[in-house]
Amino acid sequence: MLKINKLKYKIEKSSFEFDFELKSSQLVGVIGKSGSGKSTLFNLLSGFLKPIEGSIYFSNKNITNLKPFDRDISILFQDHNNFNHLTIFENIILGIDSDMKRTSNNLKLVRSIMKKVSLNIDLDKKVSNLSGGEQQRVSIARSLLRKKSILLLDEPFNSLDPGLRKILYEDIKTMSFSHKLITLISSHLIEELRNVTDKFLFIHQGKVAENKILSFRQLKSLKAFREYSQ
Amino acid sequence: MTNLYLDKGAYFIRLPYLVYLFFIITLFITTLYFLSNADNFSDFKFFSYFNTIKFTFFQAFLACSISSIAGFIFGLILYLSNKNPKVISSLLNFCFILPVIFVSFGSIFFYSSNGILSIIFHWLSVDYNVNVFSLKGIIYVTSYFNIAFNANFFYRKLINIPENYIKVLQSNGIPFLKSIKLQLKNFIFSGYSSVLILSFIFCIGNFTIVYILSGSPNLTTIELAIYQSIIFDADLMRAILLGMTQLIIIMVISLSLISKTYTFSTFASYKKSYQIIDKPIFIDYFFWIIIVYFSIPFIVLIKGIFSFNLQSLLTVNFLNSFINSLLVSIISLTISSILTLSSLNIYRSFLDNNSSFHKIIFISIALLLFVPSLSLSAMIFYFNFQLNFIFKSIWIVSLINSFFITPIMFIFLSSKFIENHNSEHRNTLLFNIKSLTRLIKIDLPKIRNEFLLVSTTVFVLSLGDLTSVTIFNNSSFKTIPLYISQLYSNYRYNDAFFILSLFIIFIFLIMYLPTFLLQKNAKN
Repeated sequence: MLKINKLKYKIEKSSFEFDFELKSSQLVGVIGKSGSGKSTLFNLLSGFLKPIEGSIYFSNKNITNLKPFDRDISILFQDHNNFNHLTIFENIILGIDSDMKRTSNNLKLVRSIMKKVSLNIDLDKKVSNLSGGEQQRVSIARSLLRKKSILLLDEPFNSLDPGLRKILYEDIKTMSFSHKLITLISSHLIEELRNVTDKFLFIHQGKVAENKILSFRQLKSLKAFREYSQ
Repeated sequence: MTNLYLDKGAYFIRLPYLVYLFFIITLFITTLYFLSNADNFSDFKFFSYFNTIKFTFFQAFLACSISSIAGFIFGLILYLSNKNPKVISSLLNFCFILPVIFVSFGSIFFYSSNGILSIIFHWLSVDYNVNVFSLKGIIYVTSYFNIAFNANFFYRKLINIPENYIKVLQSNGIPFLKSIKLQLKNFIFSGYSSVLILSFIFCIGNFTIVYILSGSPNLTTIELAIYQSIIFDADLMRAILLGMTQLIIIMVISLSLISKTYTFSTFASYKKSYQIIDKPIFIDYFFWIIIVYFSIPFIVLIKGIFSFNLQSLLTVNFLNSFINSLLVSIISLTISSILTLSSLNIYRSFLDNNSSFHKIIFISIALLLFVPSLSLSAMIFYFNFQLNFIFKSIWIVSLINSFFITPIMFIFLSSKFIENHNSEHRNTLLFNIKSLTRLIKIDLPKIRNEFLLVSTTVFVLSLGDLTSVTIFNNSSFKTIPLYISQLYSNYRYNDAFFILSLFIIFIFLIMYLPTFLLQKNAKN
């Protein structure tokens, strides 16, 4: 279980306070206006920002002050997830071996994880030569290889075309449940998120509405959500 | 491909560049004609200058290597220090454009046998035996500027690394040094070849530094030899041949690096800096060491301010030098601005037409960087002599200065012009916007901030220049750097340091007042 306990953060004139719980093996859509705090929440969870107050517990362990690498969390962004001058193999294996050694074991691991994310390409190909969807699959493969329990996806597919987005959302859903992950996906496109989940965290003015996961029906009853979705 | 027709305004805009091209070609042809008809051509013994050539490139190679390595380390530490990027960039910019005479005298004041360091060592009863008038002094001062230049490049590159890359590396637990290694090829060193060439050229063209700090005839660079040939031996042919030799060697060395680059990516602007949460503690100590290093020449300001002497400001010589300095800088900046805008316009029109001729425009302007200021002086001296000294010294010095600052303006503004080309080319065709209208209504307002920044920079560079004026000065024409240098040579140290201090404060105001006012205006 992931427990966010009165986690506070302040930057310039904006202040944020998060307080909610998530159970294991859940796929949750994170929605809200630009600047409402979606990325701030992800950055706090993954350790890129230090909260002023509050704590984060995962499996009853306080992870608030752990470094990003020591947290049981993987994160993916909309862009710059991969290193263009490195090959697919190097980009994937980077998640568990920073020396990117081409050992038989590493090759085996990369090949098997590529299969899981439906990447049937030469693993020595430079990432810069891949399409947007393939590039995101490489980063997903790296995240899965790291075997972390929480997967954060910060508007990961926004730059891709709708057809590809749909396929990737489905893939994420399958992988999320098969690996029993807690997956948080932030996006502006609520309809697309609805295809894969009915659990939402609606962030409004730096806080999670109602401090809990809401279904779409519950969301619709919120005035702030109605204003946002219009 | 689109073919643009040329309206009247386009011819008007192109005229300054064509005049420049005509002048440069005429100058080279006249020089070659002079050389081919020189009676004493066979008297020039190339091998007698072998040591001078060797020393020129040795000191440049040494200073360039030190600057590259130190610049990288400094850039990295400044980046890791997480301090305000605007302040750091301004500091590095300011150190790079400081007048050479200031850093040279500042270093003498600090490191010489009567300097501050010597006094401290004496007080601590420790032997101090550093001769600043030596190769060490030359390398130190040459590196000072180039370290600032290199550090600025690396610093800007580092703060421009996409935030997400750093987060991906951190969340994957990649050790710090490995993270840097991963970014080297992709980001940090991309475009470095152009910086390396510029740095090398700056190290070779360090005439003023060698002029002030060379304590022995063995420490003579080609530029100093050119100066000696003109001033002491009145041997223009030798001066020009030496200049040509330097030009050819620099071109050969740079050609391999420049062949694939027709634009310089040195001056990329900075984006927001990603806050590094867990920075190592020692970074703060190193940060302050860097600040102290760059502050050393400024210690002379204390001496200068305490040597306040109003009378030294009321002399005809000072007022004359001050007015001349301002006039030279204003004329240089005007010529340079017109030439830069004209050549950038042609450069972009070739881009608009998908023509590779834009490379020729780039090379014809960048060429000025490779021509040593003093050999250009020798050529123009001969040219003027053929015209019965029709041009006054002030115009010649302004012209040489403008040739020296034009490539800087051109390189700085070219990226912005390319950006404009990409975003507005179609609209220009669609709405049939005339060339002059495009320049005045679209380009200039868009590049206003960059133009102001580069104008103040080159104005300051021109103010602090002490190259061609050493040749073309006379009793009625000298500039402030020359005046300070003459005061120093006449052992009037206090007056020299006082005027130098005022000069630096004046330069600081020129450099930052317009930017400050512009920002204030924007906020209002």
